[in-house]
Amino acid sequence: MKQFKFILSLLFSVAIFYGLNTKFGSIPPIGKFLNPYTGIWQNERSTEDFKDLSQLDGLTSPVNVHYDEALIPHVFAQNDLDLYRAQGYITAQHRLWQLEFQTRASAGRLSEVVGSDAIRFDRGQRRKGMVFGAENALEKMKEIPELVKNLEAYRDGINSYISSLSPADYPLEYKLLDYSPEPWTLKKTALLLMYMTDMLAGGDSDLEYTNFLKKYGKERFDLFFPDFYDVNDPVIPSERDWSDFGEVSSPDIPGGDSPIAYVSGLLPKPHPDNGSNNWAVGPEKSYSGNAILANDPHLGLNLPSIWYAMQLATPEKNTFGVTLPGAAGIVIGFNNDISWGVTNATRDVKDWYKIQFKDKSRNEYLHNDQWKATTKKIEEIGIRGEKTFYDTVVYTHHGPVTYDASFTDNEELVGYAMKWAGHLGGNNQQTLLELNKAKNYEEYEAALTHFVAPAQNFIFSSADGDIALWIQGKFPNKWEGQGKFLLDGNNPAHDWQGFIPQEHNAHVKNPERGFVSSANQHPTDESYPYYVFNDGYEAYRNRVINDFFRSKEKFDIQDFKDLHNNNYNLKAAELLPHMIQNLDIAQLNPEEEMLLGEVGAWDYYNEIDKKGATIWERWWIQIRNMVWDELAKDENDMPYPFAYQTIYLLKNNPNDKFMDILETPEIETASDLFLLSFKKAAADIKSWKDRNGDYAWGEYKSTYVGHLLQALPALSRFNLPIGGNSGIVNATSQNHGPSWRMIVEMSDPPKAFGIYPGGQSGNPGSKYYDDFIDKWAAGEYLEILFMQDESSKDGIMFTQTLTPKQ
Amino acid sequence: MLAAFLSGAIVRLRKASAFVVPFLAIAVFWIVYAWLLSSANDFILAEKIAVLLPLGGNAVLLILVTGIVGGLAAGIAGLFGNQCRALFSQSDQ
Repeated sequence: MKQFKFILSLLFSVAIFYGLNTKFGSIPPIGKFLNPYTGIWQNERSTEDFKDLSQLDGLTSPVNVHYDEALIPHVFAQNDLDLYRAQGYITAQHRLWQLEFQTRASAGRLSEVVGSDAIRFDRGQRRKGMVFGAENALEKMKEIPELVKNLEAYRDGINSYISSLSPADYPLEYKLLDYSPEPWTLKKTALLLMYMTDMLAGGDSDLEYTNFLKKYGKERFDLFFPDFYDVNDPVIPSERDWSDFGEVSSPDIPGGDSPIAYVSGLLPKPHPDNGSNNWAVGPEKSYSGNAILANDPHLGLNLPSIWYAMQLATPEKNTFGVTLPGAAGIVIGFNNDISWGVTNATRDVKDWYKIQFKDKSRNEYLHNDQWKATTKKIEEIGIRGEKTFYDTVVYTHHGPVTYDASFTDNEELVGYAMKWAGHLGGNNQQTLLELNKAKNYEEYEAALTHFVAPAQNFIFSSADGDIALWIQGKFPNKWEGQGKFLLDGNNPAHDWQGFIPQEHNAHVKNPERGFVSSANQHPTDESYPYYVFNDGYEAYRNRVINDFFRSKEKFDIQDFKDLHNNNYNLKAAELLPHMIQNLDIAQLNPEEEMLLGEVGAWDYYNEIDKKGATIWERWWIQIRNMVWDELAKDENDMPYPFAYQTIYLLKNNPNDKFMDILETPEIETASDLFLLSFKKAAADIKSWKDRNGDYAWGEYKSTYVGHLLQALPALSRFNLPIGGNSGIVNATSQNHGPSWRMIVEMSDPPKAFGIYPGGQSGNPGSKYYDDFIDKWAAGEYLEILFMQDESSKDGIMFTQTLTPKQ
Repeated sequence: MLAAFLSGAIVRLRKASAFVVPFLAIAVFWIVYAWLLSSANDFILAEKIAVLLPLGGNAVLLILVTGIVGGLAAGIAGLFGNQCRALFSQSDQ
């Protein structure tokens, strides 16, 4: 009996030990997880143990870090190396998990942590050439030894923090997913920048356009996807003449055919709303005579926030702004002399080439009618709990063959290679560090020259009174139409023939109209001497912004705040009256009539209490789906025309064939669609009302900020009371919107306001995890503390000193 | 678990107390420690973890579960230690 009891208790001990220390599916090892010594209880703290640290390896002088009430660190170092080392250390202190996780995602290494569910994602990242691009960027960065030293200091700062951690100190998400942090490397900084590049310049619809072209032909394509709309309020004002460019040459359109092919199974695209607003007024239009600048980048709303605010100061320079955890320096911000910001330039810098392989080995491909050798990279994808997966990616001189028979349903001898500006190897880091200390327009102009991708509209203002905007990136000098569709991988005339010279990138300085702005719209009008094609053309936010600046003489900071929070729905204002006018009211039942009344009385402002906004939104979604039902039903991936052109066609081409709904035997026209879509929208509203009650806009949109791990409810914030939508200046949709809002007046010293939907701490256990969110939703701002020196401690909550290892 | 095993092996407890005593000792200890850590931070994280694990956002319940988990490990290890002792003491005779 004793032996039996012994064995039984032995078995139980082993079972319980195993059970408490092992991860089952997505449930963390519960013993480790709940142990007060090592588990989540150790993360129950709002600020880290900020003792003065006297062990920071590699510092040459002490660095003071003053934290204000918002937990924004104001860093005072004596030289650049100490500054970037401190930046790395501090960023790791507050955002370690995010820092690491984002680069893992970029590098296609999620399967190592979460298992085989992430294989397709990881393969996609490798095949897109994310690591390839990062390696090329790293080569470029190495050309500037001073930059390398600064990045190494940044890396070492992060690693000093990581090596000081015991498992009990790990951030919550490591305990949740049961893995440990890895040392940081320069390559990871490059990967982080690739992550942003992919988010902003990784979009293209070339293959979908090709599918459309093959099915419907060129004339139809040009009608639905015109290069210019009938109205255009471009980034660079039309008044700008380009005669200062002198001689301009572009390649001619080559003869020969473009390949037409149906391609499907395409990788997911970045969020189409990834974009932003920025604007600046010069001294003549400013209430104070000081230039004022504003920027609000639009990205997915995540926790921890993509941005981390900091002040970085040495005796030579003093900059405030937001940083990207993983990259050194300030990305969007200001110093005593200048301020700058970015919006996405949406230029099509990603093209696809149809590749013909010689045989199944894919060792050779056809270019210029000769067989050329490919190179192959064997990607190793580690998978938690399983064997490593090997994926062979074939490279041609164009770039990686993303789609081939091993990844999608292609013929064996065919592949699609990606030519992408993201692979070119740019030195975004150098641009950022130069902008951080730039003092005037010339230095800003020089800083931009290293910036290759993602193409951005860099806005600028200075204490000198200059305002400017450069559309900056490395842009291929294309023949007209090049890159819109699939290109022939064999035809050398289809290769990128060269690049637009840096000085010829579209730019403007101190325009007549007294303001500059961009909101992801057309960069220029037709007069620009180079061929331009974009992945997307905003047509609403830009007009609202520019009309505002044309509406009066002087602007102040409150005007800027009001504009950030402007909920005017221009799209609705341009289509709704037309639809209502052409609706046969006799066909509506009483409930529908009531809804029509509500939306008819709506003032086109997407405020949270407006029911009309919800009714419009459902009506717009329904009619858009009805017009383009042919595209949705097609077995191949088809592109949807943009909203502006869809509305143009509804108003001007009401009898077009596309208005017909395939499913029904009748042939519909636009007016029929208005009625049918309204009835569907009314049904949507009714079922929403039955399930959820109120259908006011705020309730319906239900904005949320989601944790990076697929918006885990426990760690995310839901139902935020904020209005707006995509296509509106306040571009807040359900999970996307202004990830940072900044306003800077170039007074002496500059006065600045900023806010983002998140918090400075990446620790869900901290009260600083999400403390900005309510303020952001309410349209409020933090007043930025821009310390000129360390003489006053006003507004400082506590200070930590990092001292060199003795 | 190791500490509980050793104490179970050294201290002779009878029958159910071989499990219950270590269970209670660790459970209480973990509950108190977790409670102290969490209340210093207004239970911010405990409430979130109690949503993550299906405990309805109840921080107190989470603390209780923490105690049970720790206690279970300690109790079974203590019991096992006790059994070892019993096994070897028999063979002494």
